[in-house]
Amino acid sequence: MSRRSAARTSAPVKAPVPSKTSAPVKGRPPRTKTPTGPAVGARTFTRGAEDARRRAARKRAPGEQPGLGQLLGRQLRRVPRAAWVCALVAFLNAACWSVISPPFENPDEPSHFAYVQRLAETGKLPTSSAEKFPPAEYTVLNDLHYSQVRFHSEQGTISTPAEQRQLESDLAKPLGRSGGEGATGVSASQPPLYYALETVPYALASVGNLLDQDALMRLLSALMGGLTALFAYLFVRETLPAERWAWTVGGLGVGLAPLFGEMSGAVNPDAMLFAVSAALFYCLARGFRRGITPRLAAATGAVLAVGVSTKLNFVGLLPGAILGVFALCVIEWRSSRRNAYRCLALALGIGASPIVLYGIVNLLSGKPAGGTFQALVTFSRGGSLPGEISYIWQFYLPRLPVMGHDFHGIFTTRLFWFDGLVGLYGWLDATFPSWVYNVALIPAGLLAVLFARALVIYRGALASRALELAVYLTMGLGLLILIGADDYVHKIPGEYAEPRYVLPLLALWGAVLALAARGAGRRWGPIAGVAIVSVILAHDIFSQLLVISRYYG
Amino acid sequence: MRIKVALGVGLALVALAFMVTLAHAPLTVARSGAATEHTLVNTAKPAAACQGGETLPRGTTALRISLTSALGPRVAVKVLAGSRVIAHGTAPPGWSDASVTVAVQPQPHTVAPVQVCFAMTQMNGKVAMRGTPSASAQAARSTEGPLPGRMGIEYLRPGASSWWSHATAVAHRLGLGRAASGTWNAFLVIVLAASLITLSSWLVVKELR
Repeated sequence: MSRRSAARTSAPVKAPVPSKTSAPVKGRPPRTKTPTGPAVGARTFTRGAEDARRRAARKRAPGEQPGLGQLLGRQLRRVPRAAWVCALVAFLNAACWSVISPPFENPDEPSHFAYVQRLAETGKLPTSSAEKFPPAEYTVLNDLHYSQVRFHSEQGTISTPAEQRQLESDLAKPLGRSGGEGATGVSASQPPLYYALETVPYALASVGNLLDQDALMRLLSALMGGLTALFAYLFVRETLPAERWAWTVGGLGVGLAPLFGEMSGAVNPDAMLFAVSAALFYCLARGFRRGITPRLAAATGAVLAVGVSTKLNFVGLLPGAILGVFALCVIEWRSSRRNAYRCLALALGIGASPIVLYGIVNLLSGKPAGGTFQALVTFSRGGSLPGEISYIWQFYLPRLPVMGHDFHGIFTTRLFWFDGLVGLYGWLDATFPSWVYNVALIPAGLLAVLFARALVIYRGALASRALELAVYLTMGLGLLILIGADDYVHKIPGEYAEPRYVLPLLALWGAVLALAARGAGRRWGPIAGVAIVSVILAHDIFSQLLVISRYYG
Repeated sequence: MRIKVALGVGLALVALAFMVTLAHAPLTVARSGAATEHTLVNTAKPAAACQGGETLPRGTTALRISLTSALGPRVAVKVLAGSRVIAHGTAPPGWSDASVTVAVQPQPHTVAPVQVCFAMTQMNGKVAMRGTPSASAQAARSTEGPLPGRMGIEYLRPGASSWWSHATAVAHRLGLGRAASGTWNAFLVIVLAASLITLSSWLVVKELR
C-alpha cells in the first residue's frame, strides 16, 4: 500500500474516473482507481470513511431530502456499469441453468411449486409438511417420471415421443390445481414472501400450462440471481475499495458460480435468500465505510425484514447482523447520540416488524407466538450440549481427539463442503468422476495461497477493521451453526449437508476472490483475476455439461 | 494486451478441455441384473453379502449395486470366479444415491459364472438393499443366510461412440418434458452460454486493464 496512492483519497466517492496522477507502469495504460485510494490500508479506509461521513452529514441537512423515487433513481445511477453487467451475467447463467435442469429436478422444487400454487389458487398458506400435491402437479410429475429420476443417477428424463405426447395430453386436461389440502411438503414451514412474489409469474403464465408456469417462475428466481451478483459486486466495492478491477473479479466470481446458477434457475426461496443476504452484507459494509445514516438504517431494517420473510435460514445471519447494527450505532454515537438511537430504532424496528406481526397473528389465532420460528430455535434433540457442539464441529471440521465419532470414515470438510461445492447438482445425484474433485484441489490450493498472501500483505488494514470482520464472521458462524444444529436435530447424519445452504455467504466469497486476486500483487493481480474468472467460468460450463449428461445422456 | 492474452489462453484451454471431454465415450450398461423395485434388506450395521450366477462382461470398468442410503458406508466389492478374485474395488463412504458405483479392473474376456460379494463398513445410517424377490436357492446370501431375493447389479463399461456422436440425441432429449418442447431448447442453452461467456470476457477486458 503506497502512501502516494493513499493520498488520493479525497476524490468524490461517486465519480470513479481514471486517475490522472497514476503513472503508467512500464507501458501499461493507467489503471482505473477508485476514489478512495488504491489501498485496503487502515489510513486509506479511515480517510475514505471520514469523507463519506461528511458527505452523508451534508445530505442529512434539513430541507434537502429528495423524494423516494428521486432517491432510488439517483442511487441506481450511481451503481457502476460493471455491476449491472455482473448482474446480467448472473441472470444469463441462472436462465441457462433453468433450461438445463429438467422441471422439478432441483432440490424440493415440487414442494416449492405446490406452495406457490396453493397461494395463487386459494390465497391460503400451506397447512402441513406432508406431501399431497394437487392433481395437476401430481399428474405432470408422474408423466415426467419424477420419482424414478430423482436420486437415481442412472435414470435420465423422458426420452420418447410417446412419453412427450402423454405429457402434453395431460397438460391439456383441466386437472385440479387447488387440491392437496395444503400439504405442500417441506416448503410448508417457510415464510411466504418468496412464494407470494412467485404468484405473479404463476398468474402471468396461467394462460399456458403448468410447465409454462414453472419456466416463468424459474426466470423470476434468475432475476433474483442477478440481484445477488449486483449486491456482491457492491459489497466488494465497499469492503475493498482500492482496486476497481478487483470488484469485477468478485462480482463475476459470484455470478458465474455453478451451484448458485443452478439454485437461481429453480423455483426455490434460496434464490431470494441469496439476494437478500448479499444485500444485507452490502448495507453493513456501506455502514462501516461511510457511517450509518437513518436512510441506511431503514434500508438495513427493510433488508432484515425481507430476509426473515423469505426463508428461515436467514435467522442464522441475524446475530451477526444485529451485532453489526449495534456496532455501527456505537460508532455513530460518538458524533451524534440522537442519530445513533434513531438509526438503531429504525434498523431493529423495521427488521423485527415481520416477526412481531407474525407473533401477534399467531397469538390471536391461539397458536404459540413463536410458530415456525419456535421449531427453528429448538436446537436440541435431547442429547447433551457438548455432544451437540461436537456434532456441529464434526459437521464441518475434522474430529478432535476428545470427540466421539459422529461421521464414520468421512472427512466432512472435504466431502460435504469442498466436493459439494465442486460438483453436486440436481437432487444431489449428479456428480463428477472422483478424479475431478482431486484435480479441483489444485486451483483451490492456489486460490488459498493467494488469499493467505493478501491477508499477510494487508494484515494491518484488516486488524484496523477487526470489528467489521467480526461482524461478518459472526454472520457466517451463525449460519453454519444453524445448519449444523438442524442436521443434529433431524437425526439423519448429513441430511443438511447441502452446500447450497452456505450460499447466503456469497458476498463474502466475492470478497475472498477479489482479495485473492490482489494477493498476486499490483503487477500480476489483474492476470490472477483473469485466471480466477476463467477457472470459475470453466467450472460453470463443465457443471452444465455434467447435468446435461446426467439427465439427457 | 496482457489481459487479452491471459483471457485468450484461459478460454482456449476451456475450449480444448470441452473438446477432449466430448471426445470420450459415456459409460453404458453392458449387462443388467435383477429389477430394483423391492427393498430386500434394511440395515444400519456393517454387513456383507454375495450373489452367485452372475456374468462379468468383457471390459467392465464399474459395478453399480442397488444399495440406497442418505450417507452411504464404505463398500468393498469382489468378483470371484470360483475362489479366485478376478476384479475388486472400493467406494469410499459418503455416497448418496439409490445405487453405489464401484470401479473395478476391466477383464479382457467375459467371465461366467461369477460371484459378486460386497461388504459394507463405516456405517453412517441405514442402507437398503434393493432387488427382486426370488427363491432362496437363487437369492443373494449374507453371513446369516439367504436374503429374500436377488439384488440389482449393473455392469458398466465405456460405450463405443463418443459424446459428440450422441449430440443430436442429447439435444432432442433436452427438448422433451418442457413447457415448449423441441430441440430449440438446446440451441437456447448454447445461445445463453455463449452470451454469458462473451459478456464476461468483454467485462474482464474492459475492467481488468
